[in-house]
Amino acid sequence: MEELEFKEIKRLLNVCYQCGTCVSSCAGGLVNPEKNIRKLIQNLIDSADISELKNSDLLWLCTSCYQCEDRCPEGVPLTTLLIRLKNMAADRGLIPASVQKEIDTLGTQSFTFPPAKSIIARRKRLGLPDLPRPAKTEMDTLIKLARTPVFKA
Amino acid sequence: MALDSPAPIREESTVKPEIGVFLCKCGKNIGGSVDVDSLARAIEDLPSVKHIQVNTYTCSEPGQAEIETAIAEHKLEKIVIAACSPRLHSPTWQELLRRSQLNPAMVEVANIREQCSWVHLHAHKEGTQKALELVRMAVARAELLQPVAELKVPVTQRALVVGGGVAGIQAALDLADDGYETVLVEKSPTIGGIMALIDKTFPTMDCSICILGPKMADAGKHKNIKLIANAEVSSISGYVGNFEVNIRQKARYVDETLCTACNDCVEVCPVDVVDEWSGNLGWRKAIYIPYPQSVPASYIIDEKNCLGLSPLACGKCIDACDKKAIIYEDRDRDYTYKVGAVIVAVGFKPFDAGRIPEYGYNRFDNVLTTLEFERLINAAGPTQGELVRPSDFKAPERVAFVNCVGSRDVRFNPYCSNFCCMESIKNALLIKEHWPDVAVTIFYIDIRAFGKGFEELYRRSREEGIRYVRGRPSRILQDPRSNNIKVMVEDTRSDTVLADEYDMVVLSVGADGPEALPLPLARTPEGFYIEAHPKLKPVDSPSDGVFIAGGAEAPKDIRETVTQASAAAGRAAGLLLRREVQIEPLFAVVDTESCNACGICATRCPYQAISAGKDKKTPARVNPALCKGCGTCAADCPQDSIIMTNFTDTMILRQIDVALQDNPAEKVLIFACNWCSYAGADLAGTSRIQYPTNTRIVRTMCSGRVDPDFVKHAYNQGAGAVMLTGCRPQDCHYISGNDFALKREKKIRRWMLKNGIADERFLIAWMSAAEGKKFADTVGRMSKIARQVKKAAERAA
Repeated sequence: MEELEFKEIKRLLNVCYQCGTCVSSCAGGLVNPEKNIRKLIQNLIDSADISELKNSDLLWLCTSCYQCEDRCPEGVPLTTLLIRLKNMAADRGLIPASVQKEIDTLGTQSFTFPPAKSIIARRKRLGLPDLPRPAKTEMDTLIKLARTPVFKA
Repeated sequence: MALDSPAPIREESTVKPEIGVFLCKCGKNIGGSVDVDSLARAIEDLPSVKHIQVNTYTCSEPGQAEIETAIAEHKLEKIVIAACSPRLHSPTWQELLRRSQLNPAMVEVANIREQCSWVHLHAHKEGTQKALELVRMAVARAELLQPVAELKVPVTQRALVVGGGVAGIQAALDLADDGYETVLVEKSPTIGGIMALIDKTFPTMDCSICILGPKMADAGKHKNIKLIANAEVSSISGYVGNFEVNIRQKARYVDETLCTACNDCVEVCPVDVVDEWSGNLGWRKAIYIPYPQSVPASYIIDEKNCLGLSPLACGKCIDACDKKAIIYEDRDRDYTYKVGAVIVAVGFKPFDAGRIPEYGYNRFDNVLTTLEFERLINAAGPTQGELVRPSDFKAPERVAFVNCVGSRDVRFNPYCSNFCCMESIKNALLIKEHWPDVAVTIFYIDIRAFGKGFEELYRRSREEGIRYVRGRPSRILQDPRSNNIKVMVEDTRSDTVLADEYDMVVLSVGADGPEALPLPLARTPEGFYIEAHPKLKPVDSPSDGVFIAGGAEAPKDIRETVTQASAAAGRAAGLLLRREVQIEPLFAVVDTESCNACGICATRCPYQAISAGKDKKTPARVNPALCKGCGTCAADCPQDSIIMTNFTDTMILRQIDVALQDNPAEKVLIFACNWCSYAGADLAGTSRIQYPTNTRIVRTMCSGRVDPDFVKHAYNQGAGAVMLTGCRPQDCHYISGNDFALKREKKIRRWMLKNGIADERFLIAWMSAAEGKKFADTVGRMSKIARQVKKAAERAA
């Protein structure tokens, strides 16, 4: 199943003629110039299986702004494919530590970026209500779902 | 010429053994996927088949000789060829029959290559089964073939060339020099086209107007050329050798024959208009001449901007003109010509760079297109050839060219424009030639320098210091203060994103197809005219007597355009030279006994070939020379009184029967028109685009031929799905056949509803001869539906 999925993604990527439009459109790449989405595409096309993904921090820098996908002259649905690749990487446990930490924080505190103590204090001072928090059970279900491999046969 | 309708023939299936079946392996092209020898064994039991033979290459000389021998030896009356598409070799088989003293209509082709072996490369068993059924369908049709008298018609000794760019000029001059009267129609006030606006040409750096100007002048005064500028073709009717053309010439308000282009009128005209002839970078007056070398060398009044075309409103130019050449009362004029051949040379349309919002064209002054740049550096252009940028008239120090704008981009045009690489390289060199200190950068994806002298020019440009950056810009921005242009691009050689500033950026735009002419010719989705055969008939159109040259066929440079124009002129001259031409014996015949003179057929005919029913008493009559055999009349005849020669109802119904003999529920029956969708299916074959084997094509000349009864018959025989396919709207080879086909959809769907046939099992799809992929995708979808129908039927049983 995973192999099929990877084959399908490679097929969609294979029309890429390496013009670099995605790279100069890439918000994630702009802050990390050494990360190059075009080279990631080339490496994926050349690689036999998805183990290539473990070297790819860039995957996790994608902000899903869709600029690359909208501008791609060869119609590669790049942002969409990156989301699929992220899922595949997660299934294999190839999630970078920083992203894993974000997931854990979400599970324990219901925020990916929990508000700082100073902000909570200021809200109190201004008489604003407490920030809403979903029920713990809902968060647990979400995290459990997120940890279930999508492509399990 | 005896053109009276022949007596109608109500056909009956002849089962006497008279048919020879010749099965071609086409080397491995067919033999590699279809077991041809087993086909031969499987049709032995057909009662009408007298002789069966397998050839390796049927179309080769020995292959043809074997057929001729077999015809003589076995006294064959008809032949069935199971080989490549009938669109490819039908003339060959017809000629073979003539040599064998048989009527050329006595052949039927089973298309087991393009529509079987090549599209089912790996499905040997199912492919062979399909090939067998295709052969059986062909035999069933052959049994009913009737001999048809061949018609010869005279060829009018005059040609029409539509479009006065370099293609049209070249074609008209060639024909005129050969002694043929040629009518040259140009939409603009002057001939010359895009080439006349270009500064220099690649790779030789010749001055464009210096080499074209003399040709324009020749075309303008040639004794055999009737030049009609500022005019459009409003209609073309008729057929090979006998076209009738109506041309509407817009009022010029200046007498071409009197005007001496002295400029006195321009000096007094008070109206300033943005000059489209200088790439919208300069001004002209309301009375103007596009450029000094214009042909006809005459001024024209732009009626939209003139103060009123009346001495009361202004009248300054009338007073200034000594020759009294200005006529405010001038009106549009209509011309009608009979011509024997037509050359379509309407050119391409430059891509509109404004369609790519991220490049900022139309928003930023200093972002130009190549054609605007050509005018800018042209000595006859708005700055007399001085290189300045539009925002502040400063000489730029840094200029960038962006290639592939609107080309190689599936959002706009998927194809390479063919000329934009060399156009950028040439323009970059022109800058370097005059202003060596200007820094010039070219952004490219790939450099395509394939023509004679192209690579050398590319190398020279690098020697001259032009900077090449391999990367396609994602975004172009203009600094509102400095008006400098920032180009966001990845240099893919060093994997770095550049955001450098330039004083001016030139977008190397590609080409869109032309606007449609009032001619029923197939075009690609982008609007380019499709040639009769991409390799062997590259300047013929699918319509006899109509030829294509230049940018109307595909984007191309000047040299290729001129080559094609001369080729088209040669083909047209060859036709005119013959003075008499054989026309395809395909026409409608009326059974006057059953005809009730309702007159519906006459309303279906786009050629006025049918006189019928005005008094509701006289039966319809068809003029076979005017009739082109589309069959739209026959499909809508409520009495079924119209018989299409060799495309009779019985023939088509028999083909459906045979196609659906085995496993009908899982089959898709496809009605395909000869000119577009059948040709599209052939293209899927030559491109080896694979699609499912449960597909059976019935060819008609036009989608208009498809009687709703055929569709009903297919469902009654158990067809899983039925498709009606034909030319894209407006591209119908018979002008309006597909419109009438579409009008029958409601009726068909209503019948389906009543008979419990799911709506999704019927599909009407329009596709051009260039859309092989679309054909394969569409039949692929319907194939799934048919297979579901079969499964559902099995579950129910």
